[in-house]
Amino acid sequence: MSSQFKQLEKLGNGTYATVYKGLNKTTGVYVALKEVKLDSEEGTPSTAIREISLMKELKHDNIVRLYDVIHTENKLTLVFEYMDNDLKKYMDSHTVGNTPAGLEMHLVKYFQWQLLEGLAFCHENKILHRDLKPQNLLINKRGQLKLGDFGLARAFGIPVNTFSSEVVTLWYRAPDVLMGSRTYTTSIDIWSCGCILAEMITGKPLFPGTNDEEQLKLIFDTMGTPSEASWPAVTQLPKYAASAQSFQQHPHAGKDMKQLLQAHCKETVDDVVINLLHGLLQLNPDMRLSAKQALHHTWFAEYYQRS
Amino acid sequence: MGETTENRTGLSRKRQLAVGPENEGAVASKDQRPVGRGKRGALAEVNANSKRVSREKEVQGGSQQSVDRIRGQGSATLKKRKVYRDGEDDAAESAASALSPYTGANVRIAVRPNPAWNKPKHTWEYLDSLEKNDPSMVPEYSDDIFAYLFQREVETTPSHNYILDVASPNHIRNSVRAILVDWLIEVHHKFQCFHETLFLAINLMDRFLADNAVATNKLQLLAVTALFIAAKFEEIHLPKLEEYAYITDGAATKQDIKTAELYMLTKLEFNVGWPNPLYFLRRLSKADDYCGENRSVAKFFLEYAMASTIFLDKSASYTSAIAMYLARAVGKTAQTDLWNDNFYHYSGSIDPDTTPNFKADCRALIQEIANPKLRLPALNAKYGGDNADTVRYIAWEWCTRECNASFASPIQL
Repeated sequence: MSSQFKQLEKLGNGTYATVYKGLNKTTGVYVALKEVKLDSEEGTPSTAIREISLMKELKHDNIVRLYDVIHTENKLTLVFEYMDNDLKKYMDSHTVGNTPAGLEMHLVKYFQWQLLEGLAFCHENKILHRDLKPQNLLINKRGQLKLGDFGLARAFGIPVNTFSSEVVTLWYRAPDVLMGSRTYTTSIDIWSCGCILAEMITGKPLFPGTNDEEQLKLIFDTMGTPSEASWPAVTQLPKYAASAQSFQQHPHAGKDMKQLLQAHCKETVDDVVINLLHGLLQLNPDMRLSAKQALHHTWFAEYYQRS
Repeated sequence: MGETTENRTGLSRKRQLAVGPENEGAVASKDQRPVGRGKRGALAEVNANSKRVSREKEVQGGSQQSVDRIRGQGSATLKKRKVYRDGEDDAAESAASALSPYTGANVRIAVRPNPAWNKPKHTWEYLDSLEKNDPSMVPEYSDDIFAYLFQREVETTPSHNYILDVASPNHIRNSVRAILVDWLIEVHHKFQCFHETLFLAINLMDRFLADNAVATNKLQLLAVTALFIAAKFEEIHLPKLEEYAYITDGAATKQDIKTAELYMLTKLEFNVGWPNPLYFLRRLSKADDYCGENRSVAKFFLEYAMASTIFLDKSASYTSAIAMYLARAVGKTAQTDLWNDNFYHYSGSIDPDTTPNFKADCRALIQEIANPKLRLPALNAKYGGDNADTVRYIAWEWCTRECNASFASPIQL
């Protein structure tokens, strides 16, 4: 490791690297050191090339800052801004006994706002994150939230090309992607934002599936089953036929989201946040709100009316 | 994936490129002898053009790894290397802003301004609104995204034209670059990569060559490495490293490419992302009502421009505008204007009548296509070769007519 940084405890394993806490010996400032091994058969991992080049383009208060890249012998070390915690661990620490508990509603709102701010900036800069989940949202003691881990991110053109459908951690993966769509755009990240919002409110993952089929089932159980009327061309999706068997016989409109969340939330879940949640969790990707639109949702009025 | 992999492994035409001066304009076929001359010899010939004899010394690195020769320095001193440092000021600024209290919507970074939008003189239609129901056009973000791309391309265009600028310390011959680009077109086609990947590879290669001296016998390594990196950035299914090494027919080993990859990324400071000219061309197509014929012809002009040296240091949006302008001239019917306020707006304020050098650059490209000085067999074959009614033929015939008529008609360049 560079003599400039003292390597401290391990913080975790990213998608393709190990992350340590580090101390900048000159400035006394903590950093996160992400080590990428370079002994791969295929040279520098494409994930590292994308993450570094994309994060260099993204300078925003709600995106973790990449300060430096150091090349030593057989590894690359990415020096990131240090964050105290991630949203997953933070929510876990809110457990009451063995029962998960959601975050205070004002904090949920503040976090969700920052998540959407960071995401809108990514999308304005033609970058899809493609792996939004609580573990990848880093927070600090000042209550700031920042998007991290751009290992699955990629730049898109207009019109957007087709991409891999093997993206996003299962629980946060959009139904169109689960059914094999490769023509997704910014809406892929929005679905994840919806899942995260519900999870912050209740402290529990909204759709904790164990495989693709179960994941879709959980989604349709809650959000209702799709039809050509509600989602034109859904039947054309590659894996529609395989997944449709389970719900075609019993189409339904889904559950009452408000009741569902209220059961696990001490505060009152108001209609406004439920409205936003429905905007983010539209089955049809074309119907989902954009990050920009979501930031103008009434639920955030107290933020945007300040300016 | 299966399909493409099969095709890729079925590669049959591999070859080394001979890019020494004695082969000027010629492409060595597989059975021709590769550049086997000593490094010193090859280099001396290159240096005969540029006055930098000192480079010869740098490149004589003995039997060190190939990338040392690319960079012209020994690796021993560079065990640890800083490849990217964010500005200290930025870090301080970030720390300061982190301490300031939350300021609500003010936190939002303002949309980058594009001077074109404030031009009162021009009126243009908001064409994105016609596509508001097509999510693949990302209509909501397209203005933001293009404003960003116009800014970003300034940072990622090669620093200077190392071919036309004979005084450049990194000057190489026009014909040498043409061999490299044409070979990239061929390999890219064989690997069935996206078009974006090819253009990005050419951009990475040019950015590197503009700022770094490269020994002649390492140019093919550089070209293949540029494609290797570009594919990792753009593609979903990546050709294997093995296939890249194979296609050079021994000019570059797997290890050579791996080492060169890291060196190249370091020199480029990992700034791989580049606004692809295809993004701009598609946006101009929108102003062109998505005319399919114009688009095909424009793509040929664009690819030819990427291979030619005139546009090496020009921005991607400018080159795309030239390609679209010429394509519209080729397909011109009496009634239509070649350029209007929509083209002006969506090209990022390019006005053929007032943008400096625009028409001169058009003429230069036309002349080059009509009377090619560069051999670009792969490019020409890709667009249909000499057969009539192919895109290349249509463009070539038009360019020839323009030249013969001294650019008198129909566009009065």
